Formats: sequence, C-alpha cells, structure tokens
Amino acid sequence: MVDQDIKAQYRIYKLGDNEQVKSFDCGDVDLNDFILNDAFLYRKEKLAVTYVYMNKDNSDDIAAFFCLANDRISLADFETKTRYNRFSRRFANPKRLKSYPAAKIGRFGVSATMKGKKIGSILIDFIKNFFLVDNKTGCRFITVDAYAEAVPFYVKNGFVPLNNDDINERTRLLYFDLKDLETY
Amino acid sequence: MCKFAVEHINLMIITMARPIKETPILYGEDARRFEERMREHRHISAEEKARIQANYEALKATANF
Repeated sequence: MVDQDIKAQYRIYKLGDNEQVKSFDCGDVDLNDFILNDAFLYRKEKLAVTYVYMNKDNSDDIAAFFCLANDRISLADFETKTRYNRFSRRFANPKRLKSYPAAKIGRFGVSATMKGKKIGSILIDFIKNFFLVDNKTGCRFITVDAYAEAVPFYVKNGFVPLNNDDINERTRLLYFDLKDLETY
Repeated sequence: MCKFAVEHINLMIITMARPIKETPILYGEDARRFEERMREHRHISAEEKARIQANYEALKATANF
C-alpha cells in the first residue's frame, strides 16, 4: 500500500471524552496499554488529547495513534539544578527562568501490521504543521517523550535530544524547533 | 500542592502504562547549547517543506476537528 492509498483509506480522528480504543497492537505492551487503558484518563483529566489514524469505513481499524499535551521548555540562568533550587528557596518569585511554549507528543504508536509504510513520518509531518499553521496560542517547539528504540525515527524527522541526562533511560526527551520550517 | 500536580499524581497511581515524562528545566551547558541551536536554525530543503505541507493538507482535509 503506498502513501496515497493510505491517505485515501484513513483519516485522523480526535477521540472524544467518552471514546476509548478497543483494539490496537503496535508490538509494545506499554504503548498498547496506554492507548487501550490510559489515554481516556489523560483526556478525562484534561492533561492530554489522543488522536487516532483510523480507517474511514471501519473505526476498529486503527493504523496509528498519537497523544498531545501542552508543554514548555525552560532554561535556568544557573549552572546546576542545586544552585537554582537554593536560589528559588530564598526568593519567592525567581525571575531567572526563561520558558518557551511547546506541544508534547506524549505517546505515538503505529500498528504492527502497518509498520514500514511511512505512516509515522506522515503523522509527524501533520503534527509539525498542525502547530505551525493552526496555532492558536503560540508554540515554538514540538517535544516528544520517545521510547529509546524510536529515537532514530525522531532524529530522522529532525528532532534533537534535549540533553544527555536520559541517554540510558527507557524513554528520551527530544524536540523540534518549528522555526526551522519557516522560510528565510 | 497545585491542583494540576495532585491530578497528575492521582493519574500516575491509577494508570498502568509508563507515565508521560515531564520536560526538565535545562541548566548550564545544556541551556547554552539549546539557545545556540535556537539562533542557528536547521536547514530544511524546499522539497521537505513541500512534503510536510502536502501531508498536513491531505490529513487535515478529512480530520474531524
């Protein structure tokens, strides 16, 4: 199945408050657990919204999903976290912190039967432009809490690791600067 | 503790899958490297920009939002 066939057959659907995915398998137990059991809890608590890429004629056929949440990237004017904490304890309203608005891809999974068909990259392209074009409040970066094995996929799509603190962890934080997409 | 933090902790208790990780504050060299990259910008080819735009338009046309 090529790109055009997939786009003709599937659509992006934003899950509502009471909607829950009944069946999905991307080959990862934790990701499956998220979409089947946890996604609606994040939605209910208004912490994140989940979108599915589903067959137009069969809502049980989910090719992929992604979950989006508000985020920010903050930079402290201190060399270490310890120095920052010491400073912020002394002053009630520390000003030495810069924050940039971001949107986070909390979880992202492609169905095992649809892997290798570029669905992941198509959806990443959608998310990038979604926040660039449809942006209602200001959003400079897309961040992602990526599973370690998916890091090469995000790097290929222009994401950069935030730092190296989580290099040996199960998930890594990466970001994409939406300003990179603007023409200069 | 703020309401968001309480809700997040509650969510961590009732959810089974690994919770979505918080984005950390950047300090020192990490912060300087980040700001430097913000100023530099990565070159994205016209073809890649066109592909991103085309994929977005195709998917948005059938989206339910």
